[in-house]
Amino acid sequence: MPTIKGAYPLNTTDTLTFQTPKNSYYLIKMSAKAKSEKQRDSTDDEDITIKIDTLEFPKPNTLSKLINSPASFNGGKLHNTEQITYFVIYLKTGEHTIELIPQHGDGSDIIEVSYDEINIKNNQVTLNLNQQLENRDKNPWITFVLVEIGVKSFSIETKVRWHLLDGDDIKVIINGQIQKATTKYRKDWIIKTNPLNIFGKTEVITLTPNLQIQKYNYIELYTDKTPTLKSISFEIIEQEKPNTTNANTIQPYQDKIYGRDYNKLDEYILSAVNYWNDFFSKQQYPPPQPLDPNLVKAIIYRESTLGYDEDNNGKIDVMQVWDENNPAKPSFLQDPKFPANEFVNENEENNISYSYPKDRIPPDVTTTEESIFWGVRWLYHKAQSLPNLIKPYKRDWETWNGAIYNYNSSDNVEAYIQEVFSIYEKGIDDEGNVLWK
Amino acid sequence: MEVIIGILLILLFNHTNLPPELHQDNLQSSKPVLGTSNEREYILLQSSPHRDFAIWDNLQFDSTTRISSIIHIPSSVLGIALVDKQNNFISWLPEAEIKFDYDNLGVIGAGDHLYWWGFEDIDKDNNNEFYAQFAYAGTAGVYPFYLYTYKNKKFTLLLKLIEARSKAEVLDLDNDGIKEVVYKYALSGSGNRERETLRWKDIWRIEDGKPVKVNNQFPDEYKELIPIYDKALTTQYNKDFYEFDYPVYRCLKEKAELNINGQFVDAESCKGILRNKNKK
Repeated sequence: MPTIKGAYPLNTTDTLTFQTPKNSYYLIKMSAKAKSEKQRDSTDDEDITIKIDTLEFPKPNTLSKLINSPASFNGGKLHNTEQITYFVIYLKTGEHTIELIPQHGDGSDIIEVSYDEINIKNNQVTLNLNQQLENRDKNPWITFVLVEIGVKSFSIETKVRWHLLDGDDIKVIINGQIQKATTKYRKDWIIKTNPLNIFGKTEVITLTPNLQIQKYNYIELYTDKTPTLKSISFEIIEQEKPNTTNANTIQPYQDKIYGRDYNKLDEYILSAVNYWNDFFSKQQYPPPQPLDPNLVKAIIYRESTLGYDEDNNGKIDVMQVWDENNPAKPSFLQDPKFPANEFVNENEENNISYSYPKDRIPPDVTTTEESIFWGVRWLYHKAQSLPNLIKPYKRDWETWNGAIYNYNSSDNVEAYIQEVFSIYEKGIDDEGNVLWK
Repeated sequence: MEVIIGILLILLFNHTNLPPELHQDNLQSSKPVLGTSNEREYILLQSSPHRDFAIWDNLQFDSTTRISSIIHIPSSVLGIALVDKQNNFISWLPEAEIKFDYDNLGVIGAGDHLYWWGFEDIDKDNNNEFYAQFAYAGTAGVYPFYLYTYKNKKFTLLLKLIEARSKAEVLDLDNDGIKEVVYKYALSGSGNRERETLRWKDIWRIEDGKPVKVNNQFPDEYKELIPIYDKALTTQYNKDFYEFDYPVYRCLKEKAELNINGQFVDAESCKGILRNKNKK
């Protein structure tokens, strides 16, 4: 997992920042120690509370009790032993913050803060952790905080053994409720060992708590001695994510002089923009901002007056992407003299053809719909760049302003951008005609 | 082993006269990866410490040196350079170099694509000229044209033309053995209508080692422009909708007619009218 920050004493509130390359679920790992009151020579223990972006993590069924919540590091229970807390959280693309807040600032250490993207398929996710910590005596060990995620069931795979006079035991607490074993004795310890387990055993337990989606679901593991958590698998209930890339409305234009229908292409614009927004949002290094269909409409207005300029096939090729004078066409058709390469993945940069839908091969522009579909794709090509050819490859994104600059590539491109943005932002074309208010 | 070879090569080539743009110290994220080819099968510049540069095409012009179009592969931007037979970079041709624009995180070159080039004595002064036409991949259809003289083993830029919806031709229009450069273009690259109708052409010839416009010597060349302006000026839709361009069409028509009548003019004043429109 990429480390955000390594070991250091936490003396004051520390704010860490990290970047997520795409909208996705992430696993954030925090590992820390906190001292008890005795270890601090005080009447109060140390406690670390966590804030991720604007999210705070209170005790179950409370709104404000952050200290001693399962997501905190509780010195009174840890006695300066290490605890790991894993947050499973959906994060949007961009910068995020983690705030680490010590209660007193003189008795805690951060060991590691790291994060990684996780893939959830068919509501299943398995985390292979292989985690073993120092010896402890019925103390908190590993905690999972699931943010706005329900849990139908989960399985933990552990490696436990009997030590000389005592054995590895594991307790599971879900949202403050200890999960009881079916055994006659020591019911609080759902996994336990006896002297027969001197050579160790792998034990897998599955629990079906059916936790509904709520702001936080906490699963705490306490332990005795030094078991290993090999993996944990969740069957989750996922909250439907709003599709932030899908637009469904577009600004209508009016033509007061001739009464022309400047909105006849809106459906094609929405369809093409939503298609390519969706395509690139699912890629590694997605664009920081999806393309706005209104910007495409403004480009088409400037290029061909939304299909009302008859010259140069302007009625059909409304985005002028298939114009014989524009080298975009041979690039689309993979003419080796006209390379149009871009980031495909960390190991590959290649011609933009990797993205062609199967039912549109070979690309062609015989309709307005096709002109818009490939025009938007070309705009997306012009919006990105490879910083270099050193693996692992990366993808950089221009602003959409920069992409439009490249889309036209005029000798006087500033005028073009000014004209497009006047239509996009003010509804006024370069002749002063008001297209919308 | 590769690392050691890489370090040795860097030490060796650090003493060559690399231009600043190709010098390792000035390349961000540079990493010495050398070789004769990469997975995209470009031929790499041997003296470049960075694999992002490759030779796109070559034009042999003497026994030891070639003119090469150099591609910066990540940005697909091309420049023109002199290169030896072993693919060692020698120097950029003036104003056709690849530059890194660190402020805008961009790379600037002569164009995105090389269309054609030639190396011949077009003005019959017993020295060859080198010329090339590039293209930018954009709806404006900008095709930059570069013309150099080659004298005393030195290239000097004579003509650099960068206009919208442009095309250059190097041909002998009047069959006198001296070739002219005909550069056709549009005064604006913004919209399809402007690119199709705000048309102009300049005809250049090299006289006494300098490029001069000789538009009025070829009146027939301007006759083909008149119908374009007439159509733009008489279309009702244009009259109501593109009132700001009307003076530009009238200006262009007037200039074309003057050339047809043997009086030299170019379209610079018409460009001024258009620029004033953009300022409004």
